[in-house]
Amino acid sequence: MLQSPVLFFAILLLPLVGALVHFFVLKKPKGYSAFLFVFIPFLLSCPSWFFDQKVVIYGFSWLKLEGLDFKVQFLFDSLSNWMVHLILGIGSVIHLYSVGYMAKEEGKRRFFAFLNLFVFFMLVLVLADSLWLTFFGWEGVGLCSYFLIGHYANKEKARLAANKAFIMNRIGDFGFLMGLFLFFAHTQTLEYSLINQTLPDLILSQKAPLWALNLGGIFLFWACTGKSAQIPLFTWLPDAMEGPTPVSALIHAATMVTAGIYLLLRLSPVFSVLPWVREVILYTASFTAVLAALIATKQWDIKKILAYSTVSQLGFMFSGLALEANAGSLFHLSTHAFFKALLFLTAGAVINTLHHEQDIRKMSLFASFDQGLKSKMRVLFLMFAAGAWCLAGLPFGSGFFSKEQILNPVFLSNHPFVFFLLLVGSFLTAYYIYRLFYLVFFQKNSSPSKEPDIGHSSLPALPKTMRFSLFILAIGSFVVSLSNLPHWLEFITEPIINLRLQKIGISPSVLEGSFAKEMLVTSFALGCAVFGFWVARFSFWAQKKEKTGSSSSDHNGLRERKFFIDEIYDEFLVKPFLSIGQALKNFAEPFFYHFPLAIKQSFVFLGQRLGQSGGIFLQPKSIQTYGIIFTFGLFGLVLLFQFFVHF
Amino acid sequence: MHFHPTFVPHLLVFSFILFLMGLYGFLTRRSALVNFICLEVMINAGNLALAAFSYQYQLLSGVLLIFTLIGIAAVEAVVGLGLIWLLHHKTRVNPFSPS
Repeated sequence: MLQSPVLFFAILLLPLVGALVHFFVLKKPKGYSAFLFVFIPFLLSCPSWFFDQKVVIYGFSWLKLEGLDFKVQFLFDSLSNWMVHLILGIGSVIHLYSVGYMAKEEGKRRFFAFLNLFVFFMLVLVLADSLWLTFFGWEGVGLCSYFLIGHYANKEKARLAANKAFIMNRIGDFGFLMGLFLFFAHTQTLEYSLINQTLPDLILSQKAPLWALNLGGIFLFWACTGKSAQIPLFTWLPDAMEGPTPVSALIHAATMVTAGIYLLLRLSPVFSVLPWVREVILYTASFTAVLAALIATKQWDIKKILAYSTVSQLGFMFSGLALEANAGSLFHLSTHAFFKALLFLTAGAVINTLHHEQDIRKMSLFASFDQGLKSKMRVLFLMFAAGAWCLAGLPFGSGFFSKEQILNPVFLSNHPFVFFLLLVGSFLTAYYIYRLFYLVFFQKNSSPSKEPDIGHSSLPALPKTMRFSLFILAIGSFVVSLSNLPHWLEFITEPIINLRLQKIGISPSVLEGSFAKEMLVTSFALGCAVFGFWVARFSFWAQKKEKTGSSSSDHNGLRERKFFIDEIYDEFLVKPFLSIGQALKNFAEPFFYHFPLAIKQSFVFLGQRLGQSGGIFLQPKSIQTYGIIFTFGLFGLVLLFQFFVHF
Repeated sequence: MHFHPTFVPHLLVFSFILFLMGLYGFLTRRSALVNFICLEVMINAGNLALAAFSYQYQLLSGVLLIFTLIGIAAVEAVVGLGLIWLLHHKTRVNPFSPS
């Protein structure tokens, strides 16, 4: 099916065509057109679901150097098959949702064009057969993310957030390039299949210095920390919530931020022989999982809580990857894509219904006096409950199955501290999501009836497209767990698993574990999730009885201020950087300012002297005349040169 | 890749036309920004000629030179735009039009 390049390029290029159409043709799109440009590729790609084979599609040769051929070549194997379906499936649902969400907004043309362009670049990223083509997609999604975060360009916060996201991703991209160069220096190729073959051989036969490849691995993980928001570079993701909510759902929860996971999955044979790098990844990721979850427990902006939750869940995925639980990681990526998109879209619908109120403390102002918001928005309440259930890892939600597949290898790999951290992470996950859930949907209106019309009026109904896409995602976040229930994902992740078995060091039996151990881990995880749920529930009802309402006392707590990470970066990185710039300016000013100034003044002096005698010809006062004189002068010089050469 | 024998001459003629267009624009237009764009067009005409010769002689040096030139052009765009903006900001008039 997909061996025909025509069909393949139709799938790949239709979103790009959509972007161009929205840029140049459609003046006032409603959004259905953008939806079609993603949905049709999805339909076209569906048959390939059943033909799980490795296909290499050759496009053209981008650059031919001596002995080197940089080919635009795509690889369609099980991993990219899975990712393409995920991107196009969730992408089309979110496009459909945006039709309703953006109905009254301005700049729809721009919005839908960049959304389609994003899908194109994301497809390039996951389908590329070489590191440099992946890098092309990697940059492209970053660019689209920048434009979409800054969609409300007249809001200063949105502009700053867009800049922050772009600059931090740039810092990460430096790592990508460095890693790419280091790998290239040792393998002389950038194609995945060759890198995955030659690099492990090089390391095992000790033909390449291990430190260089370790450094390359660290650099690539650095790139992942930028794109996938891990510890040093994660602060851009919460700020990126300034963009419209569908963007937060599609780019900053479901697809783009998982690019780092995808990269490590793709290069898993290389990373499996770099145990030191995997150790670094493991500790960074598990710390991220806990730190972000801790911050999320004290935030008040509904979208920021979800953003920190995304960072934390990505930490879980990276921890799984570091222990080569590739299937589990990919599985958690997929389930997370579903339920986090669901949570974001529901949150967006709530925000839209409540007249752009994002603070969960003020949402109760729209509730009635005897019941919380749940009675006013039944659908959204149920949808959010489904998403929260899955995220918290309560039984039979998709997060329950997938988180367990990450915790299991951690438990079996003798990392008790990491296991403890991840259990704390899953406890906090359940806590913050149910804290949010209770505050939004159960808090009664306690304001002394200043605005009774808000409290009693019914809220605007949800557009049909939004309701429909929420339903699809809610069903999806339960159904997706079927893909890996006992060993069902095996056929999808077959090559990864095979590669994992081929690798040396940890034998597969160590990772399998016994049934009893598995049950132990499951009960641990379940215990943490239920405990978190009950703590959130208990503290909500306890706080309700007190009726304090004023939570300004702990407004400057460590968690509320996000552990001062932004401030630390400002103080220790941004300010020194600026002062270095200032110092350089002071140092260079004599050379680059005063010296040219002296030259200029000498010319001015000369010109004035000559002008007194030369007149208009030497001072025509228009740069165009100078240009003509310069052109003919150059022409004359060339003629003169030719004359001297030939005669 | 192999092209028709007249490929290189055609490219050179195209590059020459592009250069003349840029030159004409630079010499006739009065807006600093348009002048700047015309400069870039001329640079790219030069790049195109380099690429054509690089193909003609099957040498890499031309292509590598183009990469350098594109880098320089990017830097120059940053500096040039900054200068134009600064001049405009200081004087509130188009810096290149005659006073």
